[in-house]
Amino acid sequence: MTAILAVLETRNNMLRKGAAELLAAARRCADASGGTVDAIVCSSVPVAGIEALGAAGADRVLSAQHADFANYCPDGIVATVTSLTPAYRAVFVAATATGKDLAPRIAARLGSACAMDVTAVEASG
Amino acid sequence: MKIAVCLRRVPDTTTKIVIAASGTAIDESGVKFVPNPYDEYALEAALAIKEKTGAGETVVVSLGADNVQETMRTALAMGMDRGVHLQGTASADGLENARVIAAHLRDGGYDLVLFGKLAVDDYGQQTGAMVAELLDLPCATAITKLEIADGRASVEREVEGGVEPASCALPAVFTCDKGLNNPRLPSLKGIMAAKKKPLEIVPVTPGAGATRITALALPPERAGGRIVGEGAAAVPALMQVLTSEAKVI
Repeated sequence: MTAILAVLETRNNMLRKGAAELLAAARRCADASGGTVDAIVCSSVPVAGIEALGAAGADRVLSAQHADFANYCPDGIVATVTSLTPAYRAVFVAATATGKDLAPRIAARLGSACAMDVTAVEASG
Repeated sequence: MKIAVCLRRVPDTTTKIVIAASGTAIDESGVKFVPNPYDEYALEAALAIKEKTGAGETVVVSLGADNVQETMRTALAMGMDRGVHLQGTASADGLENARVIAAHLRDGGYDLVLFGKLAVDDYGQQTGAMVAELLDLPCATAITKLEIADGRASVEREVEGGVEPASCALPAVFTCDKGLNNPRLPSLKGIMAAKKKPLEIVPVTPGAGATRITALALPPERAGGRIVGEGAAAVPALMQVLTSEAKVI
């Protein structure tokens, strides 16, 4: 069973496009092993549209709010994501400028491997 | 200012890549290797900062087999002061390489550590940010502007549909993108001087890591084009193809 966390991007406290695509990839990967998908949204105020993320593939949506999340705050996002327990088996981020900035930091903090620009993913075991 | 630039040796971007018999590496015979183009922006940035401040030290650091020394000499010929060759076999797992590099840089007293935003061989795009995280230093990736003043760095990074400005106190780690500067070419004088510059060898052993390359494949061949006709007479046939085959209109 694979517990996956999808880190969704916001800009100006709005969800950026690509969230559904990322969740769909996480959902496919999780379903293959009866796993779960959590989505996390970091923002400084409540983000519109997160209630639709369940339909897009998330089992749970975690909303992390802090004044520093008004603008992109990689250190805060990395600290938040890596503090979640129990630990996830995989963390998905979009292959955007922001996602590529976050992924290696999250991986280094977790001591995990990191792959960029992934076009297909499959979990086993 | 003491500045480290991490340099990777990569195949020339015009190389026609051939996959080795192992299926998990490229055939290096006859391949010309060059400094990673994005690392050249980092080298230029380091040299420009030293020239502007008129003091400090610029150090090029490379992880790999002995053949990286040739690539490091190019950086020394551009003007870097000295080199540190982390002598060992780089892992397929970026984190293992980042750990080795971070361990070396940790007590080096560097104010600034620069990387290219990615290496054009494996497009891993992770070593720089991982090193920053392991060293617990501020980091911005893919920067296109870098200014140093009063112990602080101001940078800009390009994101989809905008530019993200950021600033932080030094020491810090940045990965450099195209647009940051125009890297200089080594001068003849620089090439001669590079031969005498110090190049320290530090044996390292990166861990195997969790990532394995199981197979490499070339991109699919592009199908050839097709000429449906010439001049105005070809329009009906072209319309037919675009609507029924390509389905683009």
